[in-house]
Amino acid sequence: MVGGALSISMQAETIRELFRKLVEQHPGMEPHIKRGVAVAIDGKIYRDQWDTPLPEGAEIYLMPRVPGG
Amino acid sequence: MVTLNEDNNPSEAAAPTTSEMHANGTHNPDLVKRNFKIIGTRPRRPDGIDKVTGRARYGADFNFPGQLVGLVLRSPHPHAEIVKIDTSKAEKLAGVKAVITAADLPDLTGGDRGLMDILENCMARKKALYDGHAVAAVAAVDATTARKALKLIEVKYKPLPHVTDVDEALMPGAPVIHDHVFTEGVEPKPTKPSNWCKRAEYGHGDVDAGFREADVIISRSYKTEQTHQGYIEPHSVSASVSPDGMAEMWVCTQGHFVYRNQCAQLLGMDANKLRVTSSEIGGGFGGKTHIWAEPLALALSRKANRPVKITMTRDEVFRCTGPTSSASMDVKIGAKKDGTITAAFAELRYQGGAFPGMWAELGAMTAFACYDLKNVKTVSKDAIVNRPKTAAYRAPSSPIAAFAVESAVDELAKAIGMNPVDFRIKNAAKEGTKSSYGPVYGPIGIGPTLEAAKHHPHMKAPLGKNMGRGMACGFWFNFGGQTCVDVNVTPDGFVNVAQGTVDVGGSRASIAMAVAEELGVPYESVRSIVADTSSLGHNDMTDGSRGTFSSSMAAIFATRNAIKVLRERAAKTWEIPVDEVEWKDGAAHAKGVHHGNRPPLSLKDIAAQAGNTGGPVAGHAEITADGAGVSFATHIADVETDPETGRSLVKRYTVIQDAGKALHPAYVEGQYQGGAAQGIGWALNEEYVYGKDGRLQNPGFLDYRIPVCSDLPMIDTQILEIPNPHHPYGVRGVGETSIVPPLAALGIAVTNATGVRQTHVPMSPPRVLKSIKSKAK
Amino acid sequence: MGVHVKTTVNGDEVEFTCAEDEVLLEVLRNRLGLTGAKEGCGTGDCGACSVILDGRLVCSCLVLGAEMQGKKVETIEGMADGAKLHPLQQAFIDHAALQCGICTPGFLIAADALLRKNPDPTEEEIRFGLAGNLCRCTGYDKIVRAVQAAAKEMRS
Repeated sequence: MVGGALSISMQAETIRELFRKLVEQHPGMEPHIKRGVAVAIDGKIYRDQWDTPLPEGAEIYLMPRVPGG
Repeated sequence: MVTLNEDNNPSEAAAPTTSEMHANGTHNPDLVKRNFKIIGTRPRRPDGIDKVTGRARYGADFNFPGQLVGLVLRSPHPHAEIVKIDTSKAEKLAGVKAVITAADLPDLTGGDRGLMDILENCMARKKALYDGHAVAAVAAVDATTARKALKLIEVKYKPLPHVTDVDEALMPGAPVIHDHVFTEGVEPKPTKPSNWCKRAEYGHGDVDAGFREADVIISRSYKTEQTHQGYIEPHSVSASVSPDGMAEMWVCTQGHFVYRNQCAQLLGMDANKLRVTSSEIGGGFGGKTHIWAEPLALALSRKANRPVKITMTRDEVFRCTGPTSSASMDVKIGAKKDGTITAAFAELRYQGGAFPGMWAELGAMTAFACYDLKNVKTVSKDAIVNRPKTAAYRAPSSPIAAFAVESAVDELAKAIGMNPVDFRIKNAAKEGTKSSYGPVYGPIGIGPTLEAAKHHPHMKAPLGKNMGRGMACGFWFNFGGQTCVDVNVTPDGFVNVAQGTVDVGGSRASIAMAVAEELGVPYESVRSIVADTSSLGHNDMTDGSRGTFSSSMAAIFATRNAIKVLRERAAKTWEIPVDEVEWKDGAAHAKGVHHGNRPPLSLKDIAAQAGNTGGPVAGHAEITADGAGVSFATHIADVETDPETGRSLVKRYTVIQDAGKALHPAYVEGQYQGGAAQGIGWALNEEYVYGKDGRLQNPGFLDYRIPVCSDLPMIDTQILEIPNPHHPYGVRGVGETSIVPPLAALGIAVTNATGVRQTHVPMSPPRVLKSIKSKAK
Repeated sequence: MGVHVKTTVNGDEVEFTCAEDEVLLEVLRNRLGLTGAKEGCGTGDCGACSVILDGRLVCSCLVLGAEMQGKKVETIEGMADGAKLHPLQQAFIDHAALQCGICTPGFLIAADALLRKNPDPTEEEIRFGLAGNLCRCTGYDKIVRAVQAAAKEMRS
């Protein structure tokens, strides 16, 4: 893991590319991504759609995948 | 360039996800203007007659030919080493066809600890971890024989010290339940295992600076007790495994595809060979998103080479399935005299039962989600105790955190002399607010629900003696997920729809409405069924308020694909280009100056000709339904509390919630009312009571009292429709949020009725009486 | 082994043999194929197994099959008049008074028993009349309204 609250900047066109680069630069992230994460792009949450494009200058949040009732 | 914020360790195990997004229709800017013909009406449900005549088949209503009765032996100890299990006497009993223990369920999880926890919860391995934990199971020719066989199984236990309270479990010196669990999320990694399985932190800004700016600060501790989803139908599963590995399972579940995947993985089966049919489901509320007896029924059937049916008793349902967390929380909120919240902090400690969970973390994410806060911080501590493994329960964890936070918000508003509604409106999250759990909100409904509450007649109605009024807000994330729908046109021109999400509250009607709307045919022309796992691609469960949201989205896309085929067939029939054919009002119309006078071809006409124009007409959609849109609600409650007995009765209740777009308003109201009633039960009565011996004292509906008809008033509802831009009709999930505000709304109402701040739910008569008496001293 | 019993179920004469300790609910579900009555608790606390026995509302999990000799049992399967639903059944569908539906047969039987005794109940009488039946989905609002509507129709 990258550890704690963290903000980093990187270049990526899609969620898939973002995850790939994140794992390359921070290998500790890999198990977390494999276990499942949700991605918030400018506030909208994506759980699965890794082809989703990342808008220029977007703020991306990685969140745990939440269970529901 | 994008900025990435990684606030926490993503944790919850998730199904592997590969899917293709269906590109069309994710945004529909015209939806607000659209004039619906069927959406928004209240047609009868397709499963109605079966359900009022007793014909509908639920979990226990199905039998395989030659099936055996399966029963489970459960640990009477809250925590014990299993020294030895001797099944030989049981195996020798005439009529017993199979006995299984953990030895029959070898570890095929490939090191996946989350999956191993699921397996170990289904059947204890080296240790029994809670009262009711399965240790062995039998299959016999009848129930009497199976019961005798259970008594013949000899289990030698070595009892171990136990802990069932969340705060006690986190204390140094508490009995450690798992020696492989080290607190996740703390640096450096602890050197010793403990029951504290996870720490997480959310928020932004500087809370210390924020509290220094505050004129008034409220700081309090709160507790909530453990409750069960309380579905009326006990779990039931019938499984039949053939020697060649082909298998069938009939089960009451919220997600038959997920049950299939997990069972196949745990038992080393190919998923395609295990065909799972979801029965009618007699309630779930999150409790039927987890497997318990299903792998046992399959393993028994495989060993006995006969079909096996396991139906739980109510006692088993309470002792080993379901419950939600119990929790202990500290909340501190500060505000300026003008009503601006300057800082908010909460520490949330939840127990997740005998296995690691992320329930406190969910509480930390949801706690302050209703508010626009400059400085906010939440810390979660997830604890392991000797109780059943916590299962999701309708907006899991959120009602607990909301009880603490909304109670503190109410107290703070009063302390600065502001009306609690106005105080909330002043601080409510809105479009562009950075949420307390990280992301920035799009268009959301918290403000409108609060405005609606402020102007609701309920707010101004007079209160009688010993009565109090409370209001509170609630939040839930909602999500979408993997979803498939098939639309097939029959040769006589009607429509079959196969959905893969289990219908828990009327979704077959809503999905059929969406297809009929899109196709321009009467609702009665469309029949929707829930298909089995061999008939559709994978579907995620009906959870996270996703059933109607996701399946209606897939159904609309599948119908649009079918319409494309219908237009092509009409073009072939007319021998004109397809772009000169349009679909409206249930028929193909030729357009343009050359063809305008042709009579339209109806669905029936095209279906009748299908064999000559290319074969059966169908449309499919396989999607990942992202973009569910967060959900907010505001509730208002009036209670009357008897100062002599401490008993509280709800006299009036109002639910105001954003539905995006209500496909079938009666079923949306039903979700609002049902969630509110469950929250009322949690607030006033329901609780798991564990004795000093670590055993559950009230595993039945007599002593675990859910609300009955005479406990409740009518539950008024107000549906707001703030369209979700990511659904073609604007739909948001509505199933879960309604259980979030009641604990706090009633806590505040009882506080106002008694003059004593209520900080512990359920507010059962003895607890409220004690609070009144302690105040009087 | 077993007790031989002749009884009337939904107007039909039936015969069965059951164990001495077998409850009516098991007889209905396992021997007579009438699975409309449900087991929600087995202890008489939820009302999902409600039937009418000689005109009286009972939990079929609390009476023995062996006691049925010469009695009259009415279950949900006998409530409709052929294809014509009972007004209560129709009202439950029309008022969306069911979600999962597992409690619905019990509620319909209990509501029928109530309206036979009291054709014009107040809301409070309906709420107390149905207090022996648990529903976890609806919050009872639409159930009470459906019973009110059916009662009104049956009086007219």
